[in-house]
Amino acid sequence: MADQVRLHAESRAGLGKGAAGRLRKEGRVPGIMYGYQVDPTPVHVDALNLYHALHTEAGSNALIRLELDGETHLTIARDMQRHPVKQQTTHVDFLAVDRDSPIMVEIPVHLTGEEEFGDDGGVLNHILYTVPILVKPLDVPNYFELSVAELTIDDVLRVEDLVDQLPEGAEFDIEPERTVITVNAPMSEEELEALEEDAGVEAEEPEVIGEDTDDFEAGPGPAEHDEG
Amino acid sequence: MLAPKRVKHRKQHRPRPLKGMSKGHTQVYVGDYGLMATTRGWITARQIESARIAITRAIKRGGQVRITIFPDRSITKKPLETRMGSGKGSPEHWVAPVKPGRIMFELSGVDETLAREAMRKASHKLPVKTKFVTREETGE
Repeated sequence: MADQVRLHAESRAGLGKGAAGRLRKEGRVPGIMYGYQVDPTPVHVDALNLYHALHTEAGSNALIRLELDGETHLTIARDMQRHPVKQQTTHVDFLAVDRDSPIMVEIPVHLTGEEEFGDDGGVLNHILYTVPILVKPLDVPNYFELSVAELTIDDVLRVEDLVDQLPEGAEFDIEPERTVITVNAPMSEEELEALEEDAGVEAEEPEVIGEDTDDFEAGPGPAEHDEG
Repeated sequence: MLAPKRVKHRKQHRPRPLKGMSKGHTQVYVGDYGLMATTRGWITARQIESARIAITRAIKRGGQVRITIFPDRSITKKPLETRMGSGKGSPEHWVAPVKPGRIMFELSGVDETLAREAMRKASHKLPVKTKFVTREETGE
């Protein structure tokens, strides 16, 4: 079950990058709330409180009780924009949800038993890090767990192996045959040596598109005209 | 070494100075750990290859390395002791322009200590300042 956190928001009067930039300098994060029974409303929230709200065990799937102008809305953080280097949140969407209607959420897959894995030298290949499911907001699980302790080379775990962890009434929003984890055979000595070696040779001059006229010359050329 | 197989034109205009932050691939998408550029620069195919080998040697056969930049800009150079004029020089090498925030290498299948060490060794081969990041930090 996803954690629920309270977050106080205020309406945003000024719009545009100038006003948003001034808010960010004051330690606020501009955002917008939209969704179930709510008109799109520009808001701003405290950056530190938002960080703590999104760093519970539920991660970014935490249910946020957004308090705005004396009303409380049940929301979930959706599209988050971040600074590419500092990783600070620069904008956040709050999706207001109906507690009785299913929503699509990406549930992270956590691995357990990694300490016991690897006796046969297999290499774990984690392919799907999150699994999308359709679930009612109050039933959103924090994460799925997959044990890799017993896995051996060429074993595969699929989405359907998580079905016993699905909350009641929830369903996968992805094909159940999709692979989550595979165990690959380790590289041979020759393969490792080849990888460790420098490719060395200078790249060949690439082919220039349209410059190769061989095909054109081989085909029937245009009829020659006698002039004069 | 990495280089395009087919190009539309043999020579390109010299890339303009890199402005702004990276727009794409600023999150770790397919691995557990990544090496992020925090300054800007041109990374040559040789430097990419050198960094890849440094990572591969550090992690041995444990994990999987993915290179998420590609050198697709050709840089020309005139021969030494040549007078100016007589047209543009010939293509000499290929570079990948990189802006701050770009994840250049991704790594999976190893523990964090080994991943940090491998990325540290790779960063010494690159002409930009870098930062080690994890999938959780970049929000993917």
